[in-house]
Amino acid sequence: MSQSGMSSSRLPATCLRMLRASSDTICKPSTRNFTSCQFRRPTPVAAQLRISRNALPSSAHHRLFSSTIRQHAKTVQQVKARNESGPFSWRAGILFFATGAGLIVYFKYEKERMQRQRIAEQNKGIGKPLVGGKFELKDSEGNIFTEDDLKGKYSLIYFGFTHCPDICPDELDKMAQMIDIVKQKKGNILKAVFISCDPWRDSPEVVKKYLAEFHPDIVGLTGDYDNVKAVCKAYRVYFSTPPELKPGQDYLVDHSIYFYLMDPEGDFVEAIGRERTAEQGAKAICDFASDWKGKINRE
Amino acid sequence: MKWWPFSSSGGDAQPKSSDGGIIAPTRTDRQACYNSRDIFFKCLDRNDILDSEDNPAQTVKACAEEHKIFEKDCASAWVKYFKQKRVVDWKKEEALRKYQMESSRMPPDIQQTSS
Repeated sequence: MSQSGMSSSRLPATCLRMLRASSDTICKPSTRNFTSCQFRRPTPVAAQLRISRNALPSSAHHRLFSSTIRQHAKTVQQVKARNESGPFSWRAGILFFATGAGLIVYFKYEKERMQRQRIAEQNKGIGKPLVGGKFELKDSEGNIFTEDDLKGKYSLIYFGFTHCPDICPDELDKMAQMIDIVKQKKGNILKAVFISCDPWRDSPEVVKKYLAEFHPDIVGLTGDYDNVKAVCKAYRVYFSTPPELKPGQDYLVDHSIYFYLMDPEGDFVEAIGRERTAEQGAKAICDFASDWKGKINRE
Repeated sequence: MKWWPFSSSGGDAQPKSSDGGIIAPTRTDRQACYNSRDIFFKCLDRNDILDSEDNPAQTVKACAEEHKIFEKDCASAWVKYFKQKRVVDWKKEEALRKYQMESSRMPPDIQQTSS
Protein backbone atom coordinates (compact mmCIF):
# COMPACT_ATOMS: atom_id res chain seq x y z
CA MET A 1 0.00 0.00 0.00
CA SER A 2 2.82 2.45 0.76
CA GLN A 3 4.04 1.89 -2.70
CA SER A 4 0.76 2.88 -4.25
CA GLY A 5 0.50 5.97 -1.96
CA MET A 6 3.89 7.29 -2.98
CA SER A 7 3.18 6.88 -6.63
CA SER A 8 -0.35 8.32 -6.54
CA SER A 9 0.95 11.85 -7.26
CA ARG A 10 2.03 10.67 -10.64
CA LEU A 11 -1.39 9.15 -11.45
CA PRO A 12 -3.57 10.85 -14.03
CA ALA A 13 -6.51 13.01 -12.89
CA THR A 14 -9.14 10.50 -13.98
CA CYS A 15 -7.64 7.89 -11.75
CA LEU A 16 -7.49 10.29 -8.79
CA ARG A 17 -11.17 11.12 -9.24
CA MET A 18 -11.97 7.48 -9.16
CA LEU A 19 -9.89 7.03 -6.07
CA ARG A 20 -11.81 9.76 -4.30
CA ALA A 21 -15.14 8.42 -5.47
CA SER A 22 -14.57 4.92 -4.27
CA SER A 23 -12.36 3.54 -1.61
CA ASP A 24 -12.89 0.18 -3.13
CA THR A 25 -10.80 1.04 -6.15
CA ILE A 26 -7.07 0.81 -6.17
CA CYS A 27 -4.57 1.99 -8.77
CA LYS A 28 -1.39 0.23 -9.36
CA PRO A 29 1.54 1.83 -11.12
CA SER A 30 2.37 -0.08 -14.16
CA THR A 31 5.53 0.13 -16.23
CA ARG A 32 3.67 -0.51 -19.41
CA ASN A 33 0.56 1.60 -19.01
CA PHE A 34 0.31 4.53 -16.61
CA THR A 35 -3.42 4.74 -16.89
CA SER A 36 -4.13 1.23 -15.88
CA CYS A 37 -6.44 1.28 -12.95
CA GLN A 38 -8.21 -1.69 -11.79
CA PHE A 39 -11.17 -2.11 -9.51
CA ARG A 40 -10.38 -3.83 -6.34
CA ARG A 41 -12.57 -6.68 -5.34
CA PRO A 42 -14.94 -5.69 -2.56
CA THR A 43 -13.77 -6.84 0.85
CA PRO A 44 -15.92 -9.34 2.68
CA VAL A 45 -16.87 -6.69 5.35
CA ALA A 46 -17.99 -4.18 2.80
CA ALA A 47 -19.94 -6.82 1.02
CA GLN A 48 -21.64 -7.79 4.21
CA LEU A 49 -22.55 -4.18 4.96
CA ARG A 50 -24.02 -3.78 1.58
CA ILE A 51 -26.09 -6.87 1.98
CA SER A 52 -27.38 -5.89 5.37
CA ARG A 53 -28.23 -2.41 4.14
CA ASN A 54 -30.21 -3.85 1.35
CA ALA A 55 -31.88 -6.26 3.70
CA LEU A 56 -32.90 -3.67 6.34
CA PRO A 57 -36.19 -2.35 4.99
CA SER A 58 -37.62 -5.74 4.50
CA SER A 59 -36.45 -7.22 7.74
CA ALA A 60 -38.69 -6.96 10.79
CA HIS A 61 -36.11 -8.40 13.13
CA HIS A 62 -33.27 -5.89 12.81
CA ARG A 63 -34.58 -2.65 14.32
CA LEU A 64 -32.25 -0.01 15.57
CA PHE A 65 -33.98 1.39 18.71
CA SER A 66 -36.46 -1.17 19.82
CA SER A 67 -35.99 -4.76 20.75
CA THR A 68 -39.70 -5.50 20.50
CA ILE A 69 -40.91 -7.11 17.36
CA ARG A 70 -43.17 -4.84 15.39
CA GLN A 71 -46.18 -6.57 14.12
CA HIS A 72 -46.86 -6.53 10.48
CA ALA A 73 -49.62 -4.24 9.42
CA LYS A 74 -52.27 -6.32 7.81
CA THR A 75 -54.22 -3.69 5.93
CA VAL A 76 -53.48 -0.46 4.17
CA GLN A 77 -55.57 1.44 6.74
CA GLN A 78 -53.41 0.12 9.51
CA VAL A 79 -50.26 1.22 7.78
CA LYS A 80 -51.77 4.63 7.12
CA ALA A 81 -52.88 5.01 10.73
CA ARG A 82 -49.46 3.99 11.96
CA ASN A 83 -47.70 6.45 9.73
CA GLU A 84 -50.03 9.31 10.63
CA SER A 85 -49.87 8.98 14.40
CA GLY A 86 -46.22 8.08 14.70
CA PRO A 87 -45.28 6.91 18.19
CA PHE A 88 -48.37 8.63 19.71
CA SER A 89 -51.72 7.01 20.09
CA TRP A 90 -54.97 7.78 21.87
CA ARG A 91 -54.10 5.34 24.58
CA ALA A 92 -50.73 6.95 25.20
CA GLY A 93 -52.32 10.41 25.23
CA ILE A 94 -55.00 9.45 27.73
CA LEU A 95 -52.44 7.79 29.96
CA PHE A 96 -50.24 10.88 29.80
CA PHE A 97 -53.00 13.28 30.77
CA ALA A 98 -54.49 10.99 33.39
CA THR A 99 -51.11 10.63 35.08
CA GLY A 100 -50.53 14.37 34.91
CA ALA A 101 -53.95 15.20 36.33
CA GLY A 102 -53.51 12.58 39.02
CA LEU A 103 -50.20 14.05 40.08
CA ILE A 104 -51.61 17.59 40.19
CA VAL A 105 -54.52 16.49 42.38
CA TYR A 106 -52.21 14.51 44.63
CA PHE A 107 -49.73 17.34 45.08
CA LYS A 108 -52.51 19.83 45.78
CA TYR A 109 -54.02 17.52 48.38
CA GLU A 110 -50.65 16.88 49.93
CA LYS A 111 -49.88 20.60 50.07
CA GLU A 112 -53.16 21.33 51.85
CA ARG A 113 -52.55 18.49 54.27
CA MET A 114 -49.07 19.80 55.08
CA GLN A 115 -50.52 23.25 55.66
CA ARG A 116 -53.08 21.87 58.09
CA GLN A 117 -50.44 19.83 59.81
CA ARG A 118 -48.35 22.94 60.25
CA ILE A 119 -51.28 24.86 61.75
CA ALA A 120 -52.12 21.97 64.06
CA GLU A 121 -48.54 21.49 65.20
CA GLN A 122 -47.86 25.19 65.53
CA ASN A 123 -50.40 25.42 68.29
CA LYS A 124 -49.48 22.17 69.97
CA GLY A 125 -46.94 24.03 72.01
CA ILE A 126 -44.52 22.78 74.56
CA GLY A 127 -45.41 23.74 78.11
CA LYS A 128 -48.26 26.15 78.70
CA PRO A 129 -50.77 26.28 75.85
CA LEU A 130 -51.31 29.64 74.18
CA VAL A 131 -55.05 29.20 73.97
CA GLY A 132 -57.05 27.04 76.31
CA GLY A 133 -56.21 25.54 79.64
CA LYS A 134 -57.84 24.66 82.90
CA PHE A 135 -61.31 25.82 83.77
CA GLU A 136 -64.21 24.82 85.94
CA LEU A 137 -67.72 25.67 84.87
CA LYS A 138 -71.23 24.28 85.18
CA ASP A 139 -73.18 22.61 82.40
CA SER A 140 -76.89 23.18 81.86
CA GLU A 141 -77.79 20.52 84.42
CA GLY A 142 -75.63 22.25 87.00
CA ASN A 143 -72.86 19.59 86.90
CA ILE A 144 -69.19 20.53 87.03
CA PHE A 145 -67.56 20.66 83.60
CA THR A 146 -63.79 21.02 83.25
CA GLU A 147 -61.25 21.00 80.43
CA ASP A 148 -60.98 17.20 80.86
CA ASP A 149 -64.56 16.84 79.65
CA LEU A 150 -63.51 18.31 76.31
CA LYS A 151 -61.02 15.53 75.63
CA GLY A 152 -61.72 12.50 73.43
CA LYS A 153 -63.45 14.43 70.65
CA TYR A 154 -62.75 17.52 68.68
CA SER A 155 -64.42 20.43 70.40
CA LEU A 156 -65.79 23.61 68.93
CA ILE A 157 -66.04 26.34 71.53
CA TYR A 158 -67.94 29.57 71.23
CA PHE A 159 -68.00 32.38 73.75
CA GLY A 160 -71.08 34.52 73.92
CA PHE A 161 -74.02 35.57 76.05
CA THR A 162 -77.71 34.91 75.82
CA HIS A 163 -78.72 38.58 75.71
CA CYS A 164 -76.57 39.13 72.66
CA PRO A 165 -78.40 41.23 70.06
CA ASP A 166 -77.36 39.87 66.68
CA ILE A 167 -73.90 38.38 66.29
CA CYS A 168 -74.16 35.43 68.71
CA PRO A 169 -77.50 34.17 67.37
CA ASP A 170 -76.11 34.26 63.81
CA GLU A 171 -72.96 32.47 64.85
CA LEU A 172 -74.85 29.88 66.86
CA ASP A 173 -77.05 29.14 63.85
CA LYS A 174 -73.84 28.62 61.94
CA MET A 175 -72.54 26.37 64.71
CA ALA A 176 -75.70 24.25 64.44
CA GLN A 177 -75.10 23.83 60.70
CA MET A 178 -71.46 22.91 61.28
CA ILE A 179 -72.47 20.27 63.84
CA ASP A 180 -74.83 18.67 61.32
CA ILE A 181 -72.36 18.71 58.45
CA VAL A 182 -69.51 17.27 60.53
CA LYS A 183 -71.80 14.61 61.99
CA GLN A 184 -72.96 13.60 58.54
CA LYS A 185 -69.45 13.41 57.11
CA LYS A 186 -67.36 12.18 60.01
CA GLY A 187 -69.76 10.77 62.57
CA ASN A 188 -70.01 11.77 66.18
CA ILE A 189 -66.56 13.28 66.61
CA LEU A 190 -67.41 16.82 67.61
CA LYS A 191 -68.46 18.35 70.90
CA ALA A 192 -69.95 21.79 70.51
CA VAL A 193 -69.64 24.03 73.54
CA PHE A 194 -71.11 27.42 74.30
CA ILE A 195 -69.43 29.29 77.14
CA SER A 196 -71.27 32.26 78.56
CA CYS A 197 -69.32 35.41 79.34
CA ASP A 198 -72.24 36.85 81.25
CA PRO A 199 -72.23 35.15 84.66
CA TRP A 200 -74.77 37.56 86.17
CA ARG A 201 -77.64 36.82 83.85
CA ASP A 202 -76.78 33.46 82.33
CA SER A 203 -77.64 30.75 84.82
CA PRO A 204 -77.52 27.10 83.66
CA GLU A 205 -81.27 27.15 83.14
CA VAL A 206 -81.19 30.32 81.04
CA VAL A 207 -78.37 28.94 78.89
CA LYS A 208 -80.17 25.64 78.43
CA LYS A 209 -83.38 27.36 77.32
CA TYR A 210 -81.45 29.63 74.99
CA LEU A 211 -79.43 26.89 73.29
CA ALA A 212 -82.43 24.60 72.83
CA GLU A 213 -83.48 26.95 70.02
CA PHE A 214 -80.24 26.35 68.14
CA HIS A 215 -79.14 22.72 68.43
CA PRO A 216 -79.74 20.00 71.02
CA ASP A 217 -76.07 18.94 70.87
CA ILE A 218 -74.61 22.23 72.06
CA VAL A 219 -73.35 22.02 75.62
CA GLY A 220 -73.93 25.28 77.46
CA LEU A 221 -71.49 26.27 80.17
CA THR A 222 -71.63 29.05 82.69
CA GLY A 223 -70.28 29.73 86.15
CA ASP A 224 -69.69 32.36 88.76
CA TYR A 225 -67.95 35.61 87.98
CA ASP A 226 -64.40 34.45 88.80
CA ASN A 227 -64.66 31.14 86.97
CA VAL A 228 -66.05 32.76 83.83
CA LYS A 229 -63.41 35.47 83.97
CA ALA A 230 -60.71 32.77 84.29
CA VAL A 231 -61.92 30.75 81.30
CA CYS A 232 -62.16 33.88 79.18
CA LYS A 233 -58.59 34.74 80.12
CA ALA A 234 -57.39 31.22 79.25
CA TYR A 235 -58.98 31.43 75.81
CA ARG A 236 -57.83 35.01 75.25
CA VAL A 237 -61.38 36.27 75.18
CA TYR A 238 -61.99 39.89 76.08
CA PHE A 239 -64.20 39.90 79.13
CA SER A 240 -66.17 43.03 79.85
CA THR A 241 -68.96 42.06 82.20
CA PRO A 242 -69.16 44.62 84.99
CA PRO A 243 -67.95 43.13 88.30
CA GLU A 244 -71.09 44.27 90.08
CA LEU A 245 -74.57 44.44 88.75
CA LYS A 246 -77.24 46.86 89.83
CA PRO A 247 -80.69 45.33 89.87
CA GLY A 248 -82.38 45.70 86.54
CA GLN A 249 -79.24 46.90 84.79
CA ASP A 250 -79.22 46.17 81.10
CA TYR A 251 -75.90 45.84 79.35
CA LEU A 252 -74.08 44.17 76.50
CA VAL A 253 -70.93 42.06 76.78
CA ASP A 254 -68.06 42.44 74.38
CA HIS A 255 -66.66 39.11 73.49
CA SER A 256 -64.55 37.35 70.94
CA ILE A 257 -66.35 36.25 67.82
CA TYR A 258 -64.25 33.22 67.00
CA PHE A 259 -64.98 29.55 67.18
CA TYR A 260 -62.12 27.77 68.88
CA LEU A 261 -61.35 24.32 67.53
CA MET A 262 -59.60 22.02 70.01
CA ASP A 263 -58.23 18.58 69.17
CA PRO A 264 -59.13 15.38 71.09
CA GLU A 265 -56.21 15.97 73.44
CA GLY A 266 -57.62 19.36 74.38
CA ASP A 267 -55.05 21.42 72.49
CA PHE A 268 -55.99 24.44 70.45
CA VAL A 269 -55.99 23.83 66.70
CA GLU A 270 -57.48 26.82 64.96
CA ALA A 271 -59.82 29.77 65.34
CA ILE A 272 -62.68 29.86 62.86
CA GLY A 273 -63.72 33.44 62.24
CA ARG A 274 -66.98 35.05 61.16
CA GLU A 275 -65.83 35.38 57.57
CA ARG A 276 -66.08 31.64 57.06
CA THR A 277 -69.39 30.08 56.14
CA ALA A 278 -70.77 27.05 57.96
CA GLU A 279 -69.65 24.86 55.04
CA GLN A 280 -66.12 26.22 55.11
CA GLY A 281 -65.89 25.87 58.89
CA ALA A 282 -67.23 22.32 58.77
CA LYS A 283 -64.78 21.43 56.02
CA ALA A 284 -61.88 22.70 58.11
CA ILE A 285 -63.02 20.57 61.05
CA CYS A 286 -63.49 17.47 58.88
CA ASP A 287 -60.06 17.94 57.29
CA PHE A 288 -58.31 18.28 60.63
CA ALA A 289 -60.19 15.23 61.89
CA SER A 290 -59.09 13.23 58.82
CA ASP A 291 -55.47 14.08 59.55
CA TRP A 292 -55.78 13.10 63.20
CA LYS A 293 -53.79 9.96 63.91
CA GLY A 294 -54.73 9.53 67.57
CA LYS A 295 -57.89 8.19 69.12
CA ILE A 296 -61.27 9.81 68.69
CA ASN A 297 -64.25 8.93 70.81
CA ARG A 298 -67.10 8.36 68.37
CA GLU A 299 -69.81 7.45 70.87
CA MET B 1 -89.62 51.77 82.35
CA LYS B 2 -90.32 48.43 80.83
CA TRP B 3 -87.37 46.16 80.16
CA TRP B 4 -88.94 43.17 78.47
CA PRO B 5 -92.49 44.19 77.72
CA PHE B 6 -92.67 41.65 74.89
CA SER B 7 -91.96 38.61 77.03
CA SER B 8 -94.78 36.46 78.29
CA SER B 9 -94.23 37.32 81.94
CA GLY B 10 -94.55 41.04 81.32
CA GLY B 11 -94.30 43.43 84.23
CA ASP B 12 -91.57 45.86 85.08
CA ALA B 13 -88.79 43.48 86.09
CA GLN B 14 -86.64 41.39 83.79
CA PRO B 15 -88.02 37.83 83.71
CA LYS B 16 -86.01 35.63 86.04
CA SER B 17 -85.33 31.94 85.74
CA SER B 18 -85.84 29.65 88.72
CA ASP B 19 -82.08 29.45 89.35
CA GLY B 20 -81.60 33.21 89.49
CA GLY B 21 -80.65 33.96 85.89
CA ILE B 22 -82.38 36.40 83.65
CA ILE B 23 -84.23 34.80 80.75
CA ALA B 24 -82.95 35.86 77.36
CA PRO B 25 -85.16 36.89 74.46
CA THR B 26 -86.27 33.97 72.33
CA ARG B 27 -85.86 33.63 68.58
CA THR B 28 -89.35 35.08 68.09
CA ASP B 29 -88.56 38.00 70.38
CA ARG B 30 -85.36 38.69 68.47
CA GLN B 31 -87.13 38.59 65.14
CA ALA B 32 -89.81 41.02 66.39
CA CYS B 33 -87.05 43.37 67.53
CA TYR B 34 -85.20 43.15 64.19
CA ASN B 35 -88.41 43.89 62.29
CA SER B 36 -89.24 46.96 64.35
CA ARG B 37 -85.64 48.11 64.03
CA ASP B 38 -85.77 47.81 60.24
CA ILE B 39 -89.02 49.79 60.07
CA PHE B 40 -87.52 52.52 62.27
CA PHE B 41 -84.31 52.68 60.23
CA LYS B 42 -86.26 52.93 56.98
CA CYS B 43 -88.06 55.91 58.43
CA LEU B 44 -84.71 57.47 59.36
CA ASP B 45 -83.47 56.86 55.82
CA ARG B 46 -86.53 58.58 54.38
CA ASN B 47 -85.91 61.61 56.58
CA ASP B 48 -82.18 61.68 56.02
CA ILE B 49 -81.28 61.07 59.64
CA LEU B 50 -78.16 59.00 60.25
CA ASP B 51 -77.60 59.26 63.97
CA SER B 52 -80.91 59.28 65.82
CA GLU B 53 -79.13 59.69 69.15
CA ASP B 54 -77.57 62.91 67.92
CA ASN B 55 -80.82 64.29 66.60
CA PRO B 56 -83.49 63.34 69.13
CA ALA B 57 -85.78 66.26 68.30
CA GLN B 58 -85.72 65.51 64.60
CA THR B 59 -86.19 61.80 65.22
CA VAL B 60 -89.20 62.31 67.45
CA LYS B 61 -90.69 64.70 64.91
CA ALA B 62 -90.18 62.40 61.92
CA CYS B 63 -90.39 58.85 63.28
CA ALA B 64 -92.06 59.04 66.67
CA GLU B 65 -94.33 56.05 66.13
CA GLU B 66 -91.62 53.81 64.66
CA HIS B 67 -89.26 54.76 67.46
CA LYS B 68 -91.82 53.90 70.09
CA ILE B 69 -92.40 50.44 68.60
CA PHE B 70 -88.66 49.86 68.26
CA GLU B 71 -88.16 50.67 71.94
CA LYS B 72 -91.09 48.47 72.89
CA ASP B 73 -89.82 45.43 70.98
CA CYS B 74 -86.14 45.64 71.90
CA ALA B 75 -84.28 45.81 75.20
CA SER B 76 -82.83 49.25 75.90
CA ALA B 77 -79.26 48.00 75.51
CA TRP B 78 -80.18 46.61 72.11
CA VAL B 79 -81.86 49.86 71.04
CA LYS B 80 -78.68 51.74 71.90
CA TYR B 81 -76.52 49.10 70.23
CA PHE B 82 -78.45 49.08 66.98
CA LYS B 83 -78.56 52.89 66.81
CA GLN B 84 -74.79 53.07 67.23
CA LYS B 85 -74.25 50.17 64.85
CA ARG B 86 -76.18 52.04 62.19
CA VAL B 87 -73.71 54.90 62.40
CA VAL B 88 -70.67 52.59 62.50
CA ASP B 89 -71.92 50.57 59.52
CA TRP B 90 -72.57 53.73 57.53
CA LYS B 91 -69.07 55.04 58.29
CA LYS B 92 -67.58 51.70 57.28
CA GLU B 93 -69.44 51.74 53.98
CA GLU B 94 -68.44 55.35 53.42
CA ALA B 95 -64.78 54.57 54.09
CA LEU B 96 -64.94 51.64 51.70
CA ARG B 97 -66.58 53.79 49.04
CA LYS B 98 -63.91 56.45 49.47
CA TYR B 99 -61.17 53.86 49.32
CA GLN B 100 -62.58 52.37 46.12
CA MET B 101 -62.89 55.81 44.55
CA GLU B 102 -59.35 56.67 45.47
CA SER B 103 -57.90 53.39 44.34
CA SER B 104 -59.66 53.74 40.99
CA ARG B 105 -57.92 57.04 40.29
CA MET B 106 -54.65 56.00 41.92
CA PRO B 107 -52.23 56.63 39.00
CA PRO B 108 -52.89 60.42 38.66
CA ASP B 109 -52.73 60.72 42.46
CA ILE B 110 -49.31 59.15 42.53
CA GLN B 111 -48.19 61.47 39.76
CA GLN B 112 -49.38 64.49 41.70
CA THR B 113 -47.60 63.54 44.89
CA SER B 114 -44.37 62.71 43.10
CA SER B 115 -44.18 65.94 41.07
